[in-house]
Amino acid sequence: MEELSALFHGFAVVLTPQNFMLMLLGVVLGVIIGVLPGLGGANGIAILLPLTFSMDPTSAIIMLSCIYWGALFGGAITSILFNIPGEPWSVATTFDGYPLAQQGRAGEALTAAFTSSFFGALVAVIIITFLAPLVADFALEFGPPEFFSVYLLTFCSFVGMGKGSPFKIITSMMLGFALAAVGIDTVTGQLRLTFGISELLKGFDFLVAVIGLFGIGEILLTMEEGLEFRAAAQGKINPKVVLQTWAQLPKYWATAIRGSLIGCWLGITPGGATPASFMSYGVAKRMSKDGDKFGTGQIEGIVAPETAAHAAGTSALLPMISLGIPGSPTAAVLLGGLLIWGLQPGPLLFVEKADFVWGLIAAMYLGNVAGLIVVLTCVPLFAAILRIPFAVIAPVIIVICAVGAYTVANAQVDIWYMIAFGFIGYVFKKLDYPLAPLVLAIVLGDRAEDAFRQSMLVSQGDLTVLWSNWLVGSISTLALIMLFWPLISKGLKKLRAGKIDTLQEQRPVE
Amino acid sequence: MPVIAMNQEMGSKGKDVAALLAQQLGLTLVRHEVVDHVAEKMRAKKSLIRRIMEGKAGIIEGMATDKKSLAIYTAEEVFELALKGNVVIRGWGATYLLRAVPHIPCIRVCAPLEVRMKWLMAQLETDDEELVREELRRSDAAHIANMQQRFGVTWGDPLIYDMVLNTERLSVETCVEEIKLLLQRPEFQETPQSRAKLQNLALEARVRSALKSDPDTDDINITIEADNGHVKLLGIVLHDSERVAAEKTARAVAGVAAVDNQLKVMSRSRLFTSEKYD
Repeated sequence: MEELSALFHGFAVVLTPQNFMLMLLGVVLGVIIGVLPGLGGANGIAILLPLTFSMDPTSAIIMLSCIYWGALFGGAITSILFNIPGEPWSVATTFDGYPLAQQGRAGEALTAAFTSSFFGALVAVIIITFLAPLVADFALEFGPPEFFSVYLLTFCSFVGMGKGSPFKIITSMMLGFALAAVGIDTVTGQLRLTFGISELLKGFDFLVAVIGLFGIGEILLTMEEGLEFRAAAQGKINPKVVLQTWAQLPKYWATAIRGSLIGCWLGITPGGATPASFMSYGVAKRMSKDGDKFGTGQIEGIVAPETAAHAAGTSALLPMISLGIPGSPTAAVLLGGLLIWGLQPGPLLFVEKADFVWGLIAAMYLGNVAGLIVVLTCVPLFAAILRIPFAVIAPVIIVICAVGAYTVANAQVDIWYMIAFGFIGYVFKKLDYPLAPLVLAIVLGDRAEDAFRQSMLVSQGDLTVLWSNWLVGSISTLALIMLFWPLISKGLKKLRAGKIDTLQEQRPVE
Repeated sequence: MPVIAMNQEMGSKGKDVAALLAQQLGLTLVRHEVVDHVAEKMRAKKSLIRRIMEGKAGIIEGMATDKKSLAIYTAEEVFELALKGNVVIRGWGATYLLRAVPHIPCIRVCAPLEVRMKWLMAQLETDDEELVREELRRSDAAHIANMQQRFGVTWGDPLIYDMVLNTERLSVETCVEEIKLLLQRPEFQETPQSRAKLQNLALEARVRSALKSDPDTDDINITIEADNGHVKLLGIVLHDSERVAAEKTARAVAGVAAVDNQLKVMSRSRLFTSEKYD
């Protein structure tokens, strides 16, 4: 009940006219970011972060989080109308969304997508409302070893749950740690990896890295692909279609709840919205009566990935709010914002800045409602953005990125860093190296290192401090299991395969 | 070459109706022959397949048996039998599977529970009323669940049959005469179109069964549309290897002249720098 009264206070914070306007503005900007290939949630927020430096933190986080919801909504528009996912988590939406649009049922597909997104987010926000304070209360007991073990778990989860090769994930992460180490050592004051270059004294700002890796890298890729936009249908949605689709949607309640839970699980652990959307689609295809028709234009094939992606995107903020550990690159950028506004992310936020935290949680509820209304009414406008030739859009995005990178620290050198990171992003993608571990290592590298060194100082260099009590011990053990999960799962598969073969031989055949 | 699809409530004398009809029209009566082929394909005991179909399998047995394979192989058998013609197919979901073919009448034989109990007790020479009632209940429940799970229809719904015969009111002979009259009506005369429809359905079932039997494609779940030997594969699969394997397997099926592979692969349609986690 305490949470509810705090939440209502949060609503009061959000519903001031200024914050409400910022919320709407955030959603509109977010949808535009989601629609444009080349701008994603993470770099979109990173670019727009400088706009918020002069705002009060609560207004700022409301606007930025609404940009994120908008981006989550926007990805679906281009997936359905153009077969071009605006965001990676919308790829699974193209499977059934585009065929529906080709059949002249774009309105239905879009309504289903937006409503499912809304539903997924709502489930995740409800979970955050009740779980975040508990996690934060729990985390108040944390000392440096506990924090380090949680960081370790985050890093190891990336290795264990990543889809690509573990070697590539670790390589990407190590590069991130190396970049995070550049600059002045906070404990001893020594210079590290600066090679006598004064510009490197302050190290790399991860916002610049995000803008470069995700923004410029994406533009380079899109240039290479030579995107052509051909709409399958006009994206007009009339109210009658919306109501008809809403009447159909309760049929898929099981798929929606399953998708939301898959999304929440992969959002809270560092899986992310993209794997969540694919996993939810796959599970729905397997469990649905019409699984054989998936891919030919099934509403259920839109409900599954959209609920999961939105639930994952939303619940990725839970570890960020309660522990100060971002579950996704976008959450990492928001965390960067918190630091810039002078807040210390972590469990103490709930105590020291209750207004801020509950304002953010209330903004999640209202931002999604606003998002749903905005997208349902303005789809044709957003779809029209794609009629602007890419040759015009790309330079505009690059300029916006450059301005964003410059404003982070008003340093021209950051623009060069951004371009360099853009090339790194492009090369990484071509070689199929994941970027997210690199970004998270740049963000969390410093903090993980500090937590580790403090733990070592306390225990006088004894590593067993990571197993000194049940809490830290279980987190560390879980981290190690995650780290070696690829090997463990291979072993299990072998065992299972062996079992099946022996069974087949023993099975009597009449 | 008449084909008649029938189903019955246990103890309603449907068996007698089918036997007399087959005898008078010189048709083959099929009931348990389907089990042999299905059991062989599934590498399972015939008795197990029978127990599952009759709702007598234990919980573990039921869970351990791949019901999807059972449904696919059964459907293939039913269509193959229908293609050969001159047959009365009793049970096996034939009334639903063959409903789409215009010249095949789908007939249900039923009777009230009390009447069926009386007949069955006389047949089994028992006076254990409770045992017989339980047996009938279990059989009905199994059939209802089976039709609901496989086809999403209600087993006793008269709308899915062309004729429902109540043996409490009609004798076995009358039932047979009624069915024979129905067979003579113009609606149930075989036409080139209805024959083609049956061939297409049989080919779809054959391809589906082949995909299930091939270890490379046994896990895929797609739509198959056949039209005069031309097979269209629609839907979505996990990997490109499955897409290729599905086409290869479909091509190898007897009766397939050409394959139009419209399968989509469940993978990223474009590159993203921020892929994998967000």
